[in-house]
Amino acid sequence: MVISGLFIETVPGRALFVAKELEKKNGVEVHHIEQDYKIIITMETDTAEQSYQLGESFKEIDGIITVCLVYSNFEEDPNCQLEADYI
Amino acid sequence: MELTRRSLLKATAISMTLAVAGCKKEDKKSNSTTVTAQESVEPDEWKSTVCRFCGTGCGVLVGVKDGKVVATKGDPDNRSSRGLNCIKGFYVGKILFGKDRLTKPLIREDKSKKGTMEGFREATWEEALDLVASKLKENYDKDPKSIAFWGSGQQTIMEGYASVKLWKAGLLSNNIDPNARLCMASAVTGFMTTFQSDEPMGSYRDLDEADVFVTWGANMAEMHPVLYSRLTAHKLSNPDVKHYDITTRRSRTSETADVVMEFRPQSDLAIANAIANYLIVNQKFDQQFVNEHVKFKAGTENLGHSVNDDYDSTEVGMAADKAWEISFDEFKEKVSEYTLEKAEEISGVPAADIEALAKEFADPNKKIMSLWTMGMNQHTRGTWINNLVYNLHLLTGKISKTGNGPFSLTGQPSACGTAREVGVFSHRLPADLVVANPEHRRYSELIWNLPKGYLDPLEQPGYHTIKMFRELGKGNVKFLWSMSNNWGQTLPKLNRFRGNDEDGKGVKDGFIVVSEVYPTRSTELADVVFPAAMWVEREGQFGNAERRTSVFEKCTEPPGEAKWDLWVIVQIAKRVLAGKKIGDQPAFDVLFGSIWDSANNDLISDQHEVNKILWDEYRAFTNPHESDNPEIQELGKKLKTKAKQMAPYEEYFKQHGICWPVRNVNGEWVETNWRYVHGKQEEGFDQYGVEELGEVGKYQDIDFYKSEDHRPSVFFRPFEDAPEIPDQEYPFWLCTGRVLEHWHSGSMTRRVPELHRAVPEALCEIHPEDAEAMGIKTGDMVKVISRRGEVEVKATTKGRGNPPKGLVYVPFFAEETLINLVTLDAYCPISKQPDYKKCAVKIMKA
Repeated sequence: MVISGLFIETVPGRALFVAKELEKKNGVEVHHIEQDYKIIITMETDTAEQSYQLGESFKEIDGIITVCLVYSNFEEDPNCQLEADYI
Repeated sequence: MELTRRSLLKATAISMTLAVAGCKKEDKKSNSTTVTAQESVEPDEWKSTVCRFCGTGCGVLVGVKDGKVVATKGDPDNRSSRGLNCIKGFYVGKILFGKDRLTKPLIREDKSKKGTMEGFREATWEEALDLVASKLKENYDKDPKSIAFWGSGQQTIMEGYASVKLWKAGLLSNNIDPNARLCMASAVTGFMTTFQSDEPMGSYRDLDEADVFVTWGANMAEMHPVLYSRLTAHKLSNPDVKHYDITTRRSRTSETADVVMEFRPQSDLAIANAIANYLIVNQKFDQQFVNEHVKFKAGTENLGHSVNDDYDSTEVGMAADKAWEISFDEFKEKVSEYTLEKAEEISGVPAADIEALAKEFADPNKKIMSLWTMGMNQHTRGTWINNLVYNLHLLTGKISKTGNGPFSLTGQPSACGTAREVGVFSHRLPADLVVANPEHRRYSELIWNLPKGYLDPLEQPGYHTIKMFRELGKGNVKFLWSMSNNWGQTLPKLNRFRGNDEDGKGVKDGFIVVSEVYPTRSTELADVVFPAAMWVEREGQFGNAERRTSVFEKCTEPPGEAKWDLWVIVQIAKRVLAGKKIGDQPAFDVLFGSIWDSANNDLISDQHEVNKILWDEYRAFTNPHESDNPEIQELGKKLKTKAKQMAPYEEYFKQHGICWPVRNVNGEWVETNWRYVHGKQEEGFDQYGVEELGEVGKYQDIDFYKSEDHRPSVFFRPFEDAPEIPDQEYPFWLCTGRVLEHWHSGSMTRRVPELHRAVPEALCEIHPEDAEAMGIKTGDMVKVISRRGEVEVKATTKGRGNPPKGLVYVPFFAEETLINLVTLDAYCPISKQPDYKKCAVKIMKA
């Protein structure tokens, strides 16, 4: 399980539309919309790679300007466990 | 609500993201119970670090639990990024874990296999260090000019400092230069020629204040996404804010710009001159600002191009940086030929668009921020175009004020902090000092405790990067050590510098040492590979584009036998300096004794202590008033080294990064966001700098105290064309660059599976009409061919960028698609930075 918090900026006036599109995606929860261009979401996936792919799929949504990652917990990503053998 | 681990992590993610995004909403699900519970899913420790990639310098907190890295989050206390990270930041932790990390020293046994990763054997550190030291000494003893060190804007500040100290003070050689020569040298010479002080005077805070943004050859949306999100956030919440994108290829940045000015390569020189001319002809410049703060200069013209190896020693090459004062009227006369119409004719940009931007500069109520990266710096007139953009801000007084100013962005995490600030250049010393100035050398001797005159052999600058590799190719440089870079992929005209061309054979014959973390196109050319600790496997420091120095804590051990580069530098110094004296003292003891543990015959094992000792020494350059030595106090005052004042080392941990100059205000170390303008230090202004080094009360409270006569220069620099222009045989311009997912040569980001899969290969962007005319479809393999080499690459007419007709774009991240086999190594005659943005090519279906 990988849980991330992201902050998304949209073209002004498009936040509601973008939020509805985001909510259609499996693993995405929209938690807050502000000033009609800021959206706060969480993503929940099994691996970091899936998180990345999910984030990449946001590009298809018209109106998104930037996607910023704020928080990512990948403690239970099995890939990261393997890769962390060096530590 | 049941407090599952999942819900707690989610609550943590929400509350952190809300805070960073500046949202007002309280997370209703959070209460004292959940806050306490959230702590149970927290890592054992959050370590303060800074991102390994671009020059933005985003703060990253690394969560460590049971000795493992389990989480990352943006560092809200880092004032550069304010808690945000870009998509590469998502995976910054994973760059440590590529399966092919170099973990043991390698020695090449079979020189015939040079150019591949075959022919190496594993070795002990002792054997590898002894071999490298003996080769360095052997070549140095035969010919001191035959050794060279190629450093990096990815070395930590203290690694760079130790490299400089070994090379310049230990070996009395100026043959040391960084890969930053390839990315921002023109910005440096631009700042130095105009202001006599390096680095931007403004702050990322200007992104929140400007009324007009001008991106000059900068695809910020992909290359500096965190800063771009700040720009767009400001623009979106202020509908009157405008953005002009001056570019040779429409990029993601162009998509959100209000005006896109697509210009013929090299003709930005004409556009900037036309804006200056408009301001003068229409009396729209700030007369009082010009009268009180500015002088005018012209310099050598008709510079030709540095295509041949002897360019620097030609008459014009030697005179390229000569400049002299002229009057305002002379400047007015010279720039008058650049009418809007002439600029349109040269650049292809409609005169109306140039006029619209000129009117923005002309409006005294508009705050304007110019931002640029490689489009301006990788330019055979790179210094000139930097000067010309400063001209616009100086003529209108839109500089050193909130929301106003020329701001060069950097591509590497410590191009500023390391390469520029501690002097990893063939002509520099730490703290803006240069080797050619006797007082600067004397000041360095005093700080380094060297006898008077000891550094005099450094008077002549050494080999700049292209010269260094040309001399390596010709067999005159016989020993090269490169660290934290990938020249075997990123140098231009690679057939020469990979030893394939006749005038590059020395690359194969020379003795080359590469300090690296992964196998690269450069380790293929090595005789010895030193496996290095990367990013948070050691403690280090980076300095970003807004003059912010940040430290990163060590979070984990390096794999296998990989070692901290600084340890390697000192181990080599110990061997090479053995038996050498400075005065009557052993040279090694004078230079590195402070960080050497004699009892254990090794570098002091505590990295924090080593860094702190070296930082205190470097910091002494910028704090002469703290010295007990009156000569340091006096000379430091004369040289105004306090203009770059640094804080004590521990302050950087405490504050999560500080912008220099850092002033001691009643016991608190306070950063400076806007240099040269008097105002309260606590609000980010340069109160102490102006009071101590300048004069209070001048027009608009500004004093450019580092500039000659306190007056920066408005330069006349004409339009001169590119060294290679498309013709019938080679009809396309080639522009190279980066993509969001991959950083530079991809040696780290391509080892992150997610990033590699997102952009697995380099693509050649072609205009659809050009493609159609050649019968090329998206997905076809094409050959990009120049007079220097060729490369096969997949074509696309639907790339992220949209080049105009007559121009193709290929990124350089892919080691299997060496686009630099095609590029040209001509450089700016002043900055010596090569131009990767324009040469002539033809396209053929493969």
